[in-house]
Amino acid sequence: MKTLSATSTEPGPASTRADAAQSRPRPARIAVERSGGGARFALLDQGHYLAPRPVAGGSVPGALHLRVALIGIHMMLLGGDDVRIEIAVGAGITLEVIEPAGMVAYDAEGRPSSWTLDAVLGEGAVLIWEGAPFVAAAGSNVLRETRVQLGTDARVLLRETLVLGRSGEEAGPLRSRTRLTGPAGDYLYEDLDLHGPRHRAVGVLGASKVLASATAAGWRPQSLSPDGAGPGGGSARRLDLAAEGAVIRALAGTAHEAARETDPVYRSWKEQLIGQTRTGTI
Amino acid sequence: MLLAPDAGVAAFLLADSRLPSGAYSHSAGLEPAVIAGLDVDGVYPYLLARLHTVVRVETAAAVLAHRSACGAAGVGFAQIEAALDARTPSAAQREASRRLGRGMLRLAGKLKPDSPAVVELQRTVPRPTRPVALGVTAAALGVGELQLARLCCYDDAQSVVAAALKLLPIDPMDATAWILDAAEEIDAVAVESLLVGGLDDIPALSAPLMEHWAEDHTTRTRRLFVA
Repeated sequence: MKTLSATSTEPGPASTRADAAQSRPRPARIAVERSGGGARFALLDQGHYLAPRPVAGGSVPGALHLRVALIGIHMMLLGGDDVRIEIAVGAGITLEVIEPAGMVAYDAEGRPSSWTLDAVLGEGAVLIWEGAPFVAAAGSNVLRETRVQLGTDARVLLRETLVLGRSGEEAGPLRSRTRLTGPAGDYLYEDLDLHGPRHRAVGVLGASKVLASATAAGWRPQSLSPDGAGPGGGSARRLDLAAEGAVIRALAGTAHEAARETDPVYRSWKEQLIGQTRTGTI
Repeated sequence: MLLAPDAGVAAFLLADSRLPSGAYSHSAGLEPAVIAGLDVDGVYPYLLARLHTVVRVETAAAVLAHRSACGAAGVGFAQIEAALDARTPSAAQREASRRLGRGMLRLAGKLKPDSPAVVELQRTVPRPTRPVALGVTAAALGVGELQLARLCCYDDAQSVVAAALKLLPIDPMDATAWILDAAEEIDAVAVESLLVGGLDDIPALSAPLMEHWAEDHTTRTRRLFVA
């Protein structure tokens, strides 16, 4: 069903070129493609910080659905760190990426660090990104970028939880940019920049400590309830994008509160997405 | 850019809340913010937070629309609209902006029916957002782009202040002073917005809570302002 054609600790030819020039730590790279009647990993490159590990189970034999977990293999996130994840999902394939553990950006006395996810989705491809909480501790200064390029009929579902500071501390200035682009232009382009005057600003995040969200693009998930809100209500809001897509987002005081308000919606959306993929409907 | 002879008055006109464009029914999101708990002390910080986020997005888009109207941008109005849509995940905010934009375009159509930019906007985007309609109207009236950029910021700040006077126990003199207090920031946003070279340069600065508040407001029946 699936073959691991390239599991290596060495950087691939493409990354050698770019990285040697800039001496940046190598990215974790995952590529999946169609193979006969199923799907296979065409690339599973261990990065400097993260290693992709295929996850058994959940994938129906012969199905076009693969799962992989991203395991931390290096202390992170410290000042100057540059974590990159590059994903390519071939036409018609569904890739599910799971972050099993949360990540803390530690006190770096304001020294910048970055975390970047770059994904390219082929025609009809699906990416499910199941992110774990990302904590911006006091003294951290992180630029977090999520860029997904969707081909025709490609769909994405992203789970993200941003935590502003550990218990009892103020967060370092986080900047989280999300840009999801389809063949006809951007589905969503969002730049949550908490530097300077936007930190704790009225109407930005206010006093909320946690922002939890699930974002769908390339498809519009059905509402769980007629009013569009998820079960639990609370601070969670559904935002319907102008293009095909939607966001469910909670701004809460604690991670478990935010998760309680968004998890049921995320799970429902994921089921819808996988269901569509299995039945071939869009 | 040199101003046309009547542009000075035109700029005043566009900044005037008595302008028949429907702006009086909008609070720049203040009413839902107040319902969510924003008090007197929060109004000025709210005004500034808008200048640091959504107003930057809108002002850059307005400048680009102005340039497009003057044939200098290389992008069409529909593309600017799409860029704004992608940066505005809240349907309530998109709708509020378009309600304002439509009022402004109707006015532009009456005042400058022969302006090629106004005709083009009517043809390609009958329901434009506020910044795009404002940019095109300003261009049609000969208002320069820096003045337009300032106007875009000032109009938002005045909407907040005017709504605050109706919603909260505030001395009108104090509220008026906030506009002047914010003048330096308004100028900074206006000047920065002139650096926009294309669609990708339009900032995407997000204010999640404002989006949540805007969404909450759409289902309310007892409200003073539409948005």
